[in-house]
Formats: sequence, C-alpha cells, structure tokens
Amino acid sequence: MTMIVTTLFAALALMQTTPDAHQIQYDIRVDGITCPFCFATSKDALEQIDGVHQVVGDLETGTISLCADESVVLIDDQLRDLFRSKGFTYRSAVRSDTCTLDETSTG
Amino acid sequence: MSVADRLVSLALPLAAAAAAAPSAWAVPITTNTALPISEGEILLREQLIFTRASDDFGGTRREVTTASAVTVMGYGVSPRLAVFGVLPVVEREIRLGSGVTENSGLGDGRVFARYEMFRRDAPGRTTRLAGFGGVILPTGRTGETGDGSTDVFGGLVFTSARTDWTFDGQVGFVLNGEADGFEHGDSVSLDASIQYRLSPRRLSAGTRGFLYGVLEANVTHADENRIVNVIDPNSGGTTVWITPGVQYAAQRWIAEAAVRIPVSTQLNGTALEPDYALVTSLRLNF
Repeated sequence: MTMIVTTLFAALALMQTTPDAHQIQYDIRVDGITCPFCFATSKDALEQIDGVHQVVGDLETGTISLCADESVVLIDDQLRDLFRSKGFTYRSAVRSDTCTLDETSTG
Repeated sequence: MSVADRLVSLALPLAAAAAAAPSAWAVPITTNTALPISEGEILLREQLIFTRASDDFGGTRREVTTASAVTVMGYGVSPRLAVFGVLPVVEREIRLGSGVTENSGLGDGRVFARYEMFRRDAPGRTTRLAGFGGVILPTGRTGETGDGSTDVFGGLVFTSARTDWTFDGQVGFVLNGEADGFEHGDSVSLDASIQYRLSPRRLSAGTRGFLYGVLEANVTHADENRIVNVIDPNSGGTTVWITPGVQYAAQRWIAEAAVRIPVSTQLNGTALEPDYALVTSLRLNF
C-alpha cells in the first residue's frame, strides 16, 4: 500500500514538472535596439507572457532570445505589436525545440 | 529688467532641452532627441542648472547668477507620440555695483508634444526624425522669475543611434509674446550632440549600463527685445556654446553632468554676456 501511494505521488510530481522541464527557445530579431534600456523595456514585456522564463539580448545583432514552456506559442502579430509599443521594429522569430541559453546569462 | 531677462534667456533653452529624452538611451544633455518614450511609460527628469554672467561695464560690476531646479515629466501616449511638461524653480541674484536683488520662485513652465515622423530601424541601429511644438506658460512672476508672456516654440530633431554612439541634431524656434509692454526677441537655435560610449568597450549579455562621453554644440540667435514696442538695442544677438559632459545610462536611469561654455558671443550693445552654465540631471523611467 505504501509503495502504491509513493508511486502515485511520484507520478503526480512528474506530471507537475514535466511541462516546465521541457523548455523551448525563441530567437527574436528586433531592429532599432541600441542600448541596455531598449532591451530592458522589451524584456519586461516578454517576461509578462505566461511561461516565459529567461530573456537575454544581444545588442550588436539585434537579437532577443528567450526560454519558455513548451506550451508557449508566440505569433508574429503579437510580437509585432509588443515591440511596436516599445518603439522598435519586429522582424522575425525562430522557434527551437530546446533551450540552449546559458543559465548564467543575464539580460 | 534687461539684465534679469538676459539670464532668463540663458536658462530657458536648457529647460526646454530637458524634456524630450528617454531614460537610458544615450541622449543629449542640453538639447532634444527623436528617440521615443515607450507607450504607457513615464519619464521623470530632475535637472539642476547653474548659470553665471558677469562683466565690468563702465566701471560697474554686473553679475547675474541663476540656480534652477527643472522638473520634467514625459509620457508615451503612443509609440510615436509623447507629451511633456516642464516646470522650473528659479533662484536668481543680480548684482549691479553694490546693489543686490534676489528673486526666487516658479519659473515659466512648458508643455509640448513630440511626434515621430520618420523611423528606419536596423540591427543595433536606428534613425529617427521628430517634430515638436508647444507653449511656454507665464507661471513665473513677471519681471522676476518669468517674463509674463505666453510663447510658442517648436522645431525638428534628428537622431541617429548605434550601440556605440548616438548623434542628435535639432533646429528650433521660439516666438515670444508680449506682457506688460515687454517682449523677448524671437529666437532660432541649431543644436548638435554626439554621445560616444566609453565603457564598456565591448558589449556582453551582462552589460547593465553604459558610460558615454558627450560633446554638444549650440548656436542661438535672438532678436532684440521690445519695451513698449521700442527695440532695446542692448539685447539679442548670437551665442555659440560648446558643452562637454559625461553620462551614465543604466537600464532604468541616467545620471549626467556637463558644463556649457560660450565660445563666441556677438551680442547687441551692452547686453550681458554669459560666463558658463553647469548642468546636472537624473532621469528615471517608470
């Protein structure tokens, strides 16, 4: 009986963690970002999307990368509106099935 | 009146320049930028300005010092449109020979809007052109900390920004109104500013803020003042300023300091010439 309960809890725990355990990555190209603040204001907006966990930016290439739950789907119109409200120009987004961002990376 | 107004004239362009710059981009210190304020965001800037003008005229020492605290608030109405309010508090001391006059209180405030007319973005760079316009309100005490008139100003500002430098250029005008028989001369100005990133030399994902060296040049030409519709020959003229400064831009704030030095003054008659202006400010974004 104890073994069954333990197994059930373990299974439940696994179900709880599985969606977060698999992270996907978006690499977003945004033009017009030239400073830390430009990135910070966009980072704040992206982090308000449910399931987005880590956002880093590369000013030189104009790329913002983020890790998110597998269930997160970002569409062009959503991203275009988000960056337009910040004063920048959204170009494209590429989704990868795994997140390769360094855990120590910061925005 | 003319000596005091000369100082008001010196302080106002700086107050106007205080407004239109978003925090934490590299931005001009004494002039405007075409860079936007994000939609729904608030910019708060507190600027401290100290100006001094002095000479010996006919054996009489003339000296005017002004300390101003200028509060600027901006709001991003849309990605292209931002509105601003500027309210200075002024303390001024006028020495003529052995006589001293002191005035303090609210100066003339400003409200204006800026609209982005052109934008070209690329990776790590942007080019913008914006128009701005507004009014100067007689919130100061007439003849002491303000000139009593409602004035109109406007212009165009151009910005080209990269990750390591930013250039801003502006052409502006002020059309002054009349109050109590006195009218400041209308003025036009040309401004240029370049901000160059000194540190860090190389960018990384962990870059939190930039240190910029700033160099600005301003040319202002003002017509003569009018007193009861008669031209005051000892007012107006052309002044060229050079302004070196430093600026630290973090993710949510900017701190900066600069000294504004007149390198050429061609003023009419016996108008008092400026010595220098010190500018410090802190900008915050919410």
